[in-house]
Amino acid sequence: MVRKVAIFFTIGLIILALDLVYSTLKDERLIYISEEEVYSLLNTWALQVGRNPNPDEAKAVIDNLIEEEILYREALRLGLDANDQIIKRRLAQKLMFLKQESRGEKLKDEEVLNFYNENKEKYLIPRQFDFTHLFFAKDSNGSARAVEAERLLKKSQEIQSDVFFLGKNFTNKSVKELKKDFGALFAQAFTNLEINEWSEPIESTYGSHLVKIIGIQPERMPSLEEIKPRVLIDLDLQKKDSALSEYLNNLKDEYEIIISRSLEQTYNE
Amino acid sequence: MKKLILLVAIIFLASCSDESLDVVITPVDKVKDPNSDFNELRNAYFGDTHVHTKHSFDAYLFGTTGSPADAYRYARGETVKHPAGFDMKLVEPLDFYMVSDHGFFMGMMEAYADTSTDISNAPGAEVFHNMNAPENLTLENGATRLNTFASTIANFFLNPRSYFDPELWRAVLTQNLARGLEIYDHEVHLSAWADVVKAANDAYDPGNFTTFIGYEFTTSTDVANENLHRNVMFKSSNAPKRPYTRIDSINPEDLWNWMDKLREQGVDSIAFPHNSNGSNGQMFEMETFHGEPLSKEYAALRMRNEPIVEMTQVKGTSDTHPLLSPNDEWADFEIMEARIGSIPPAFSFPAGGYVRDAYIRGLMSNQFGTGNPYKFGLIGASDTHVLGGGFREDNYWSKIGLVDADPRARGSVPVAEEDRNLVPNRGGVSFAEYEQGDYVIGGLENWGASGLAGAWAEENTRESIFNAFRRKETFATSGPRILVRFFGGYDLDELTFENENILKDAYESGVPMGGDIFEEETDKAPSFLIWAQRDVNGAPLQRIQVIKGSISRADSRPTEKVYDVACSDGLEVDPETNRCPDNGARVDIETCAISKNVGAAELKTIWTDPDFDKTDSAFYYVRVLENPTCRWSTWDAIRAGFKPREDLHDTIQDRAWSSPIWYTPNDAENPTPIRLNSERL
Repeated sequence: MVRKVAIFFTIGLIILALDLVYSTLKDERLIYISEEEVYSLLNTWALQVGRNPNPDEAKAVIDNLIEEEILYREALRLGLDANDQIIKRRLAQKLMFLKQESRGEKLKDEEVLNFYNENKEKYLIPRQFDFTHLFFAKDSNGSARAVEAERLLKKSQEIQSDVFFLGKNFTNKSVKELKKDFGALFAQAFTNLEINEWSEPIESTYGSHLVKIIGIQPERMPSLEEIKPRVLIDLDLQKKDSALSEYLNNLKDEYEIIISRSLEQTYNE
Repeated sequence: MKKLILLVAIIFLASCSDESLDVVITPVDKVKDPNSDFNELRNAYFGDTHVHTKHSFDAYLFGTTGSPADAYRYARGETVKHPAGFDMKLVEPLDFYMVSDHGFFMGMMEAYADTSTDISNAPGAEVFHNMNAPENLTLENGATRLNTFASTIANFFLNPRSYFDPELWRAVLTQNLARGLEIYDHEVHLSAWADVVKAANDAYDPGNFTTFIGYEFTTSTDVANENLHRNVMFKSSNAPKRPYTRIDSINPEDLWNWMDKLREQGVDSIAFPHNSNGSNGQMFEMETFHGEPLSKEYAALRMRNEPIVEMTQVKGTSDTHPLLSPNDEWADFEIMEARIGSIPPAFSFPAGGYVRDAYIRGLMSNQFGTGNPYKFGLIGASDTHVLGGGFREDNYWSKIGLVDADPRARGSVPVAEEDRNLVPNRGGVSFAEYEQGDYVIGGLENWGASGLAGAWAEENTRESIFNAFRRKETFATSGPRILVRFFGGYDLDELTFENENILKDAYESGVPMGGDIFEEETDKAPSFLIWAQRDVNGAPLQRIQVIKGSISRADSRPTEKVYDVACSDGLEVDPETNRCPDNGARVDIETCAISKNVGAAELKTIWTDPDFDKTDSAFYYVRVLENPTCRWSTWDAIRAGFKPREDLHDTIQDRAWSSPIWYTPNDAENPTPIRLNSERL
């Protein structure tokens, strides 16, 4: 039994030795130039020069390729790839591309909930106003007419106002939307208005307005269920951005990093 | 065994259908925001329907690495990065947006650049390896990119696969020629398109923000490569499995037939041509793609599929050309006269390339009995290749990424001898000596900070905005968010602006922009209600104009006229000249400050055509002009400490254009069409 095992191992060792010898011979000393490689080089040549190479030039391209391959292998054998900045950067880049793409795992409920909680500000539905207004166009003496109208309003007298391009009654307008449609000054004024009372004249880009707020929907945080599709998309985007930095952080833990003492302080700062 | 072979053959053939007609159904699980507007008198929504991301072969080449999802984030007001590293952010978010990457070679460039993909090993792909790695995203690098762009397309994009390659046979069996190209990876292409579709469906927020699935059909004539580009916009969340591209056919009629077939399957879409200005007169020709005469069938096919034209964008404005409209003092506006893609720039013949001329041609075709193939509405868009347009003269980044990120490269600031490496060394770019130094000339200086699409829709949903496009209730602006209402009808002169219900009445007794007025039993001329409002973040308005074009019934002679109809600052139109007096608005070219307290917040009028002839076919559209402001090239110059380049306009009057309203007399079609009869010759 012992003998059989010994024979088995001996034969195995011989095969292994032969394979090692042959394969190193084969791999290190054989240069195979594929058709694709040559054509792609010739194409690049044509792109750069603007015409196809003649036979001599084509031969030179192939010779170059062979020489490059020989030099590359000799350089590897001599260990010249170690500590080379350019090579390092290229390899790092390749991995970077790979890591940013390789995602697609399912998002966990807990993860989604955490993301929602951390980004509440983004999903907050701002305070919204329902209001009506009397408009006095800038181009027809609007500010003076608005002051007069305010006075008449207190006496409940009839008022001649102008028709506003965007209409008379508005619902669910946030301060942001007001800024877009009426200008910043007008939107700002809304923060100080009382509900169900006519305001003093407020200036917009278009003229003066007397505003009466009819309803206010307070600022509200929508539940996760309400806005889940949007949260999922945002989380997915964020994960894409952070995939690489996460990967790097994980790896950093596996390495012991020592920074030259002379630089350490500057680095930490 | 025989059965097995048969089975395999059936499976093989069944898997070989034309994927451009396979519809991918994506159910929309989104509910309209209950707090959002519904307005039966319609709201104006602003959007950009011409946006390129990393999936476009050229955008990637220009350094863009952002995705369609990033583009939609930009449209909603978030900050995204320009390839050159600076932040891009809108002053106000947009209401709707459509990513429209080039259909052909969609997604391929990124795959060539990524050396871990199979296709990156394809012959020719190596010039793109790691192209947009961070260290390569420099202005110097941008300078060489246009060269690569030109030579790659010419040299290897269209190499076919060998006969022994099974992919070539799949190309034949699935009627997808692209698969037969050596440099093409079908899976990469499908996943890029799937990303475009998914991003649009994900970002759609009915009631607040509308997205459309779309792409650009980037075709040109086979005679001299003249631009025939158009964008395709799908109505719903459903889309074909792959886009129909110029590799399938370069004939736009084939695109329309394809859209017809999809419509039969319930997938509605419309297309809009752009850069007719650079088409060398081919976009609105008086013949078909193959040179056959126009026909009613052609007109119906075209109008069913292309009711809209993108008439202004970064690469110039296609309202009209000074050579076509010598009596229009505002015709010389953001004119870009080079044929699209010509290196060095070749002059694009104006006739047949501008929308006003096209409208006249359409009336003429109709009078000859061959229908009107040019009865389209108007929008503007950016055609940005960096996810987002700037739309503002004072914050301009042009549109082709690293190539024109620097003012020196786009010709607004002189280039010092030692900085010439920042300028694309493509054929056709040369330097011209001016007072302040050497400037780049060759085209980019004639591009501009345009444009936007406006749509009058009941609510901010796909359905509602798409329908506005379909009925041409749209308008174009050169960037600012000017609002313009335009109605036509016989009884509109009875309306008054003092009436709160004026818009409701206008909809009831007239037609909105994009509509038709027909001859009626009356001696009255039609009237038009026109109302424009300035952009909160733009300049005040100077005047409203009506542009009228008509064809005489007797001899088909075209007439064109520009009427000022409302003036700012209480000024009155001179009835002799049809012009507003100068309102005195000026720009200080040293600081770009504009005159204060000049110009209007809104302009409005009810106007009746003084030259109406009820027997002549006509069209009317509105042009609203802002007070002058600094052009982007002036902003570039003063920020760099120079004066504006002397051969460029230093100011600009940004503007809005409505879609037309058409007037059609009874028997508009001439019963005896005016045609040359060979027997008479």
